[in-house]
Amino acid sequence: MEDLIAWGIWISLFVFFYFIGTYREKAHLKSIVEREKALVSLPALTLKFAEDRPVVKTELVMGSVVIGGDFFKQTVASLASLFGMRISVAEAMMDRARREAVLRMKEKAAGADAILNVRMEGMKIGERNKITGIEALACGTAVYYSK
Amino acid sequence: MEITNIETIPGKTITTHYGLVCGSTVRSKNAFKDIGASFKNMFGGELKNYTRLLEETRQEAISRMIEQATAIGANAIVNVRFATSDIAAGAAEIYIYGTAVRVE
Repeated sequence: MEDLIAWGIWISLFVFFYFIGTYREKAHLKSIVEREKALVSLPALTLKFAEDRPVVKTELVMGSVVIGGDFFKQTVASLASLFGMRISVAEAMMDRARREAVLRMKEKAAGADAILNVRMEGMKIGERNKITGIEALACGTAVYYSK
Repeated sequence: MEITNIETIPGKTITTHYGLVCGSTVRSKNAFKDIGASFKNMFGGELKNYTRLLEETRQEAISRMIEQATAIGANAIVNVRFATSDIAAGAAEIYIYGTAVRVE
């Protein structure tokens, strides 16, 4: 009986956090898509040179974000890693973190004409095998062309 | 101080190279704040405490690099790179390096 209650609590937590995590992830993705549309005029390039125009100002810009996984994701990830499966919940998390980092970088470069040589970096946050969160960092050189 | 992560400062010419400059910071997490983070970790989403902590740490490393470059008489740093390493459980090093130059 006690076992049954423990399992019941565990499963209801699993379902509860699945809905919470999914809702929050969808809300975040929606805001990312909206902001990406608004910032589409400022291209983030991986090139070191883009246009042959006189430059008046350059600036190092970066954006970073730490995204944490939820209870559901962490459980699924640890189960999937037993069998060497593709962990799609983690893929979605990485995608959100990187896109958010690029957006924050763009927001810091407001007024620039382009961001050159954009690099992405990441770091795992958490101890040993446990993934508390992942950090994504985007950095690049914002250039302002003379008008 | 002008800083870029490409080999030049666009629109300017490099006159002198001073060599490598770097800045590093080692920070550990706050165990007390971490209790909140692990609670927040059940729900997913951004961990703002960690974002802020890493941003501050990175700024500190950059300002150390700038200090070093200023001391040797440079007025710009080109080709800046970032590196991170986990040195111990709950502590991370942020290392930033680049080439100090004089531009005109």
